[in-house]
Amino acid sequence: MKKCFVLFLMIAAAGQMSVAIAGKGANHSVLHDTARIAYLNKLAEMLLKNNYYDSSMVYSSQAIEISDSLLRLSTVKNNSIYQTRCKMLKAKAMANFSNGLIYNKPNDALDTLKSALKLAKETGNKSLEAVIYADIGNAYNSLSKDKAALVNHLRSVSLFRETGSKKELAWQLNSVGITQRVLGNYGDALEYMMESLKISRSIGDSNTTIEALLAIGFTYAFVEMWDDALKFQAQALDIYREMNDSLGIARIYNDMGVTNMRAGKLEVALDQHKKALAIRLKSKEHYYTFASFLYIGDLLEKLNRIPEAIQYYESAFNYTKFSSFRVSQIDAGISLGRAYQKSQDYDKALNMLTLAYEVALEMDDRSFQAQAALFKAKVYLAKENPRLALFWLHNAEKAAAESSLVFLAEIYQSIGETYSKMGDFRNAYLNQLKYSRVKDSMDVAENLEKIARLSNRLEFENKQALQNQNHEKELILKQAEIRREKVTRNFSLFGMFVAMVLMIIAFIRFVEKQKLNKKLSETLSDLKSTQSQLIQREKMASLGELAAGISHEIQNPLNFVNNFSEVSRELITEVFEELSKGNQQDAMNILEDVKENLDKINHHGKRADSIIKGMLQHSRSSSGTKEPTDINALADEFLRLAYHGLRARDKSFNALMKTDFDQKLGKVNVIPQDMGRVILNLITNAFYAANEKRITGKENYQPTVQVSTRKTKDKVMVLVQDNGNGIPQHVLGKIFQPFFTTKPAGEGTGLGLSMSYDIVTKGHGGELTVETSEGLGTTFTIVIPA
Amino acid sequence: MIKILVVDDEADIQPLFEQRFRKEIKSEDVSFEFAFSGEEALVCLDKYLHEAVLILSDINMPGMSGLELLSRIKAKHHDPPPMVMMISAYGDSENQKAAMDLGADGFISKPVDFAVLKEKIKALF
Repeated sequence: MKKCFVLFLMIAAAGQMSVAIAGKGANHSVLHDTARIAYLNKLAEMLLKNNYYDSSMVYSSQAIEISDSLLRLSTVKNNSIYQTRCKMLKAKAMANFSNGLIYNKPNDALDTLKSALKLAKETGNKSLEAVIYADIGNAYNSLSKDKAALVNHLRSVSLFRETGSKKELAWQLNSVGITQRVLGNYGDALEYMMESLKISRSIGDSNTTIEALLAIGFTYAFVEMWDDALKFQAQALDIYREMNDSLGIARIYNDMGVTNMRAGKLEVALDQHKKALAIRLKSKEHYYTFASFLYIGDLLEKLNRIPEAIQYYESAFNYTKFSSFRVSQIDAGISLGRAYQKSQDYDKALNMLTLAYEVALEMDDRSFQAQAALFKAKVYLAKENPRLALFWLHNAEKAAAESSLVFLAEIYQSIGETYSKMGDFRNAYLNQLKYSRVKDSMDVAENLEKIARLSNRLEFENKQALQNQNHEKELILKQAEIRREKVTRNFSLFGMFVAMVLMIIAFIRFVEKQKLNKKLSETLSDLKSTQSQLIQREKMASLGELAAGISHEIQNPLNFVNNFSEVSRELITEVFEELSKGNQQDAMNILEDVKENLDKINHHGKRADSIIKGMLQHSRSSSGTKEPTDINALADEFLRLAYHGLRARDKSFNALMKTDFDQKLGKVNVIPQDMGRVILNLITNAFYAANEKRITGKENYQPTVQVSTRKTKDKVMVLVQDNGNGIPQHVLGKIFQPFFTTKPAGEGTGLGLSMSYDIVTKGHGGELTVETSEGLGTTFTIVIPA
Repeated sequence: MIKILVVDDEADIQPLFEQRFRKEIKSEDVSFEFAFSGEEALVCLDKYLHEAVLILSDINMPGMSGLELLSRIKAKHHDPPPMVMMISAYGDSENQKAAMDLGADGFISKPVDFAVLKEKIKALF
């Protein structure tokens, strides 16, 4: 109320000032106008703080306009002090204007901020520059470009360190910490947040102290260290209590409730959200009251107290009428629908879910559409109406195409079960297959997440240990100070005591270090085992791709072996016939044919043999030893296998295979299994790329893959070339990273190229390079020592 | 005499057919031409259009597949269309159906049973 009144007074004063300034002399006018801009800037800032974005933008655009007209005046142009002042004010006004835009049009905000930064740099005012860097960081955060955000927040931090503005420095350190957390660097995040906390505490800035405490709490929650998370949240709660800020207290109760819920302490979480709700109900803030109702409903549903959950969800739903957030309506609608279904109140459930689905449609939110459709299907299944269930499941499938894998798996499983209930076992089976495929991808994603979590935790614990050590060092120094004082008083007695304290600290540190070492080695072995599982999975995936190609490739030589041996048998009979007739020359001619046939039988037998050997080599663990290998034969074989493998999986697939082998290549010293894997992987990718372009229906396009070899004085090169769409520049830098794939879910492990890269560079001391041209194709080149 | 154009990317198909049909070739009942890709087959076909031609084509070939060759032949030559018999892996019912839908005049599974093939050729002419 008080804030609103101050704002009102300021707005009224802004209007008065514009009248007062008219008709004064040049210098006088400049002074007054700069004062007015400063005032408008202040007003815009206050409006921003109170979330009045539109009004703030109106005043800041006025400030920009006035500063522009001032900068055009000759009085200002000829006076460097005036000029600098005007530029500073304009830069500040531009920054305020962008902050009003930041949520709705972050890209526009960013552009304006960049111009403001240029202006601020011209004035040489470091504080202003720091503020604008911070705003740019926030804009990048809104655009989810967190690496760029980090760079700008860090620039802001170093400028604030220069200017010595501690309050702003503390705030920015926290922003750096939060951005680091978003980037998954939990250890670094903690370091920055801790520094922010230390500074904000030292200058008595309660707001920043609270933000730092909460940020630290969330960071601990991210690495699932619940007790530590709650400890920091409780400290923030104490400060809000001292400040007597009831909404602040409610905020922390909600935060602690979320932490406890994730930690599995549902009853405690319920109690905290209820405390938050009691406070929020007294306020007029609708959104957070809605959220508290929803949290409680969710917890009660998890505790299987469905009738109570329904009551809270219904209240939450009623609050969505006040809220301008339509998403809340979908959120509450789906929760309520689910709870009604659990209490077997199917009609109400369907009403709610239909409403949620329609709002999601209006908002074009596919994830929510999929959720609502899936739950509708579940209601129809419960009502024993599989046909309608199927209709909604297919809707869910369509909407969920870009949604999460977990969700897609659930949908496919339900579709499969529904078909099976309807007796359509073919479709049931097909959907079960889709389910398994998504599940496989989920497993890979889970493993990836596990690795990320483990390495983050590892890094986090390292940093924490380091901080503890620093803390201990400080402790020891303090103890030493105390010791010096006390030694002067009672040397012998206190000296012994301090020595004991030091010994105990040293002992505790030793035990902690031991524990930490144990944890580290456990984490490391976990990482290693997950990594080897993933490598095995990639190997089996490529073997699967080969299987169909192998059967086709073996069948052809075997047919020749059978046919040529049969025909030779007939020919031998003819030889006897001719000899009995005395036609020796004819008999000799036929025998020539038989001889050629035997050569062919031998050739095709060897061909089948080498294919089987190749397959065995591919599936076997690598021997790790290099041996002289015919790279031309290896590449030719894998080219055919990959081609027929893809043909067998997708009948519509076709591509031209070309080879251009350097016959001077000879045998090259490589690990054959590993090099085979690399070549196969590159060829499979090339076929995939060419086929993708074919599917887009480009006219007169002939998908083509060419494998070539070259020998120079001391190097051997294998080139795999396709005429697909090429690799977009923005992903080019990532293609050799583990788990990076552009293939749809379930089709690629994302390990092929990264494994290939390691095999070529680490295993053979070579290079794996890529050249690509968007729309024209890609060439991968393996270069290894001859 | 029947002119048979055999299309397969395996070069050894030529000596095999020539030996299997040596009696028929000797008695000038049939004569063979060989093409080792779909593209080559289309060029070859233009030369022999005035003769009674039977095309025996593999399905799985790099570049233009047998099915594409079949559809191009049936689209280009109407009066009368040459006979086309497809050859592909055993049990590949999906390709067999696709070939029949595209207007193939017969289907032979690999490994080719030459006695059966000879019977089928006789039945066609």
